[in-house]
Amino acid sequence: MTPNDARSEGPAGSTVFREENHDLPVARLSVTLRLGAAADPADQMGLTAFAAELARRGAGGRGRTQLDAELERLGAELEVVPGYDSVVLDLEVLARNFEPAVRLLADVLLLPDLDEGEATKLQRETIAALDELRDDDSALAQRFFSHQLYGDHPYGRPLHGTEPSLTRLSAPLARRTLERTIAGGNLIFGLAGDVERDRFEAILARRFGSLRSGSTATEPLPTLRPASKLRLLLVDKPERTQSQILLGQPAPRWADPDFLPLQVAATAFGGTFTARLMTEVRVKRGLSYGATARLGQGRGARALAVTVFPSLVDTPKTLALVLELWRAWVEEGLTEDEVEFAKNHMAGSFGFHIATPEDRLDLAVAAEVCGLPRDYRERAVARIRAVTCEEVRGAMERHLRPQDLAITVVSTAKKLRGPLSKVFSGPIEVVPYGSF
Amino acid sequence: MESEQPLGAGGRIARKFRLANGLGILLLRDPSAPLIAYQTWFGVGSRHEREGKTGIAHLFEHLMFNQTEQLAPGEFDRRLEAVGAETNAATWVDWTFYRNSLPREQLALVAELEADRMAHLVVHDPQVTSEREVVANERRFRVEDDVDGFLSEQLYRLAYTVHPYRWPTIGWMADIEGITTEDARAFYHTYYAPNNATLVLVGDFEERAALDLIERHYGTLPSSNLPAEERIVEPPQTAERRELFIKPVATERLLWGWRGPGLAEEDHPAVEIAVEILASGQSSRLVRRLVIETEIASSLHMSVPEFRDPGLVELRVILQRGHSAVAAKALLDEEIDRLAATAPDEEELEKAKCRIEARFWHSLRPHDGKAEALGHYQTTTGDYRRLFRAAERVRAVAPAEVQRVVAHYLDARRRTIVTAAAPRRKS
Repeated sequence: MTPNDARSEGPAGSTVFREENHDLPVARLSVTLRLGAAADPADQMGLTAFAAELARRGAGGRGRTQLDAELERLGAELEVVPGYDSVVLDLEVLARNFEPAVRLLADVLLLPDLDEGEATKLQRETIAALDELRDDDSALAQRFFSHQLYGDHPYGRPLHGTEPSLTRLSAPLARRTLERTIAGGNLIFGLAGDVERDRFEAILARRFGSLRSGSTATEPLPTLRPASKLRLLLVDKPERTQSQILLGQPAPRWADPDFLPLQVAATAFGGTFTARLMTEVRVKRGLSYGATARLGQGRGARALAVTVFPSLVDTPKTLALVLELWRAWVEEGLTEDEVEFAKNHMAGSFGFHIATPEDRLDLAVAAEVCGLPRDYRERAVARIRAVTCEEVRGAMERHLRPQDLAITVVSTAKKLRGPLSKVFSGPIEVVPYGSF
Repeated sequence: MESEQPLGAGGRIARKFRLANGLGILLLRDPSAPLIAYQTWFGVGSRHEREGKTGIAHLFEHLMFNQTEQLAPGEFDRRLEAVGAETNAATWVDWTFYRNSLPREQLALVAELEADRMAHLVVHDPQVTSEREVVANERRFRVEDDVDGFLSEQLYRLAYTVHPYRWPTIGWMADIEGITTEDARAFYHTYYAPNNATLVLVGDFEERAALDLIERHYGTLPSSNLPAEERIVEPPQTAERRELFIKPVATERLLWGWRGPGLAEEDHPAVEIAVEILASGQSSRLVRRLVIETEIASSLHMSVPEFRDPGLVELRVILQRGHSAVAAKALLDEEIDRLAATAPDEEELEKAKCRIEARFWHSLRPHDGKAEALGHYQTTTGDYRRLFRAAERVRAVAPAEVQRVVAHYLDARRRTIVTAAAPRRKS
């Protein structure tokens, strides 16, 4: 199937992707709204996720309990998956029950109840989920790191908001948001699995025929101002035996020509088990179970970040080592062998990103949301192989700023602040782990 | 060929073979993507350890990525990563398995490397010292600083008195620190041999060519005299056991465990359905009652053990602010007792079966998922075909069976409870 066969126009000017496959009797329909948490107003953090989740809690005259029961009777799961650049309604179902499940999804999208009582309940449940997150050190580190790195930029806002912002959200606000954004031009329908094309198109036309056309202009993301200083945020949590460390800087957006060369550089630095980071931190010194560098993919500039989690005692030593490795990576660059190795690994492993119909669908939708070329998947391996050492060097020079690193450490401050200040000369800010 | 089993309606067939040295081979050709999942399942896990040496199965899994007689340290990973392959491993109570996901043209390379480390691994002091540190850090990550990992470990310690399931697969910290190079070598020579392993290949390959390749690389490896496994039977639990732990948690967390059936036991599918009815999905009884209606809990999960011997049916509850374990316990007891007293109606039963069926097929979508399911069933129960029989048995479970297994297995007298709560603040 060529890319043009897989992509077509759907109801009310929406975009449709299909990855038909009949090996197993299951199907998935994803409906992606091209607006995510990055579009939330600054004083209404979490609004998009809140509105979508509230729609999922009652639609077409069915309350939350009835809707859940009807979906589950069909062997279906309907989840709201919020993101910064999009929000997805993701339906997985036995293929024989595809149409009745899609009917329920269509009601969620087009006829949501948006009940006031459910809205209040959702606020409480979201705050409870935040309590759960605070017991997970990795998730906690990620939440604080994004805020530290991005500050007031939309990517610095938590997807589900904060306790104060949640109190400002309501059912009428959710209704206004959905009425403004649910339109054909803002939606991407994606099918993966055991449903034939004709049947799928007929179901889409039948169930989403009342979808209004039009689209909401996607606001350009604000430019992120470099902080121009190395800074460390110590998130204080009692009784830690280990520290969660995230360290990084903003990177170019996915559609930027420098993204791929920088991804090659990040892969060579910390993208494989034999890369520099893992070799120096784990294999040679046993300092951390994991040591990775990752480049985030998004419509705007996501993070290039290193993750390590050493014991509390080894935290200063590990942080000093990672900072030195980062400095050497940026200032001394990569060898030709390292670049070639990273390219071969990325080209060889690209198949895993498109191994299943669901994988292929996810990639097509993400590429569409982030403005990548339509032949992105078909040309990806050739593009990786064509990256030159000069392009890698150029991208590193243009984007990497060792003096602008944000460092987040989740650990026990009374034991760590003193030892950390001996290896880190920049400002150390200490905040309680429940403060954000 | 020893046996075969069709998979779904797509015409795919899993076939089982065995070499003269005892190596089991499971092949499932699936050319839907130009990839291969290549997994090696060894019949050794933490159940084969002894007190004082817990964690050795898992630590040894780390050492398998190091050095062989032919390959320098790190070369195994390097050669695979250079061609885009991804490699990892996992250790659990009944097994250890090594996974490779690879582009189809790299099958010969992986077969060569995997056969090499099955028989020619080299273990030296510096590697053991370094991996002890890495595993200690992994333990801090998964247990010491993770309240759920900590509670899970304490639950099994409390629920079992003699069976090896009572210690954690990652091992007690003191034991990890005491594992020696000699221990590691002895473990390797005892358990890592073709007659204690099954290769599982799923993906885009030709069956005959794959068998020839495997025969070439593994056919001459010697089998070993595996020690006879002592069958340890945990005595029945006759009274509830419980323990409270003070931890810096945002809200209270509960973990309950009841000894359930082994994976191959006849009751396993009925227990799976009972757990589905009680706690899987938003419309399940416990989620509706504790999370949605009363908002006592922020989340609630229940799981059925897939162990060879009876493992624990687990119920994990995270409470909302201001709610205590006592209030949650009353509601949990009430709902469980209700299912023990009255069989579910056909509609509720059918809903549970539908959900289990959907999850079953979704889990088999990727090559890795198929290989893992086949390897897990083969190694845990001795026959990969039970995977498909279990799906059929789920379809056949009657309402009264669900009621019976709830009354039998989820009996409060056979329950173990561990709770994590924050320290009380001074007024």
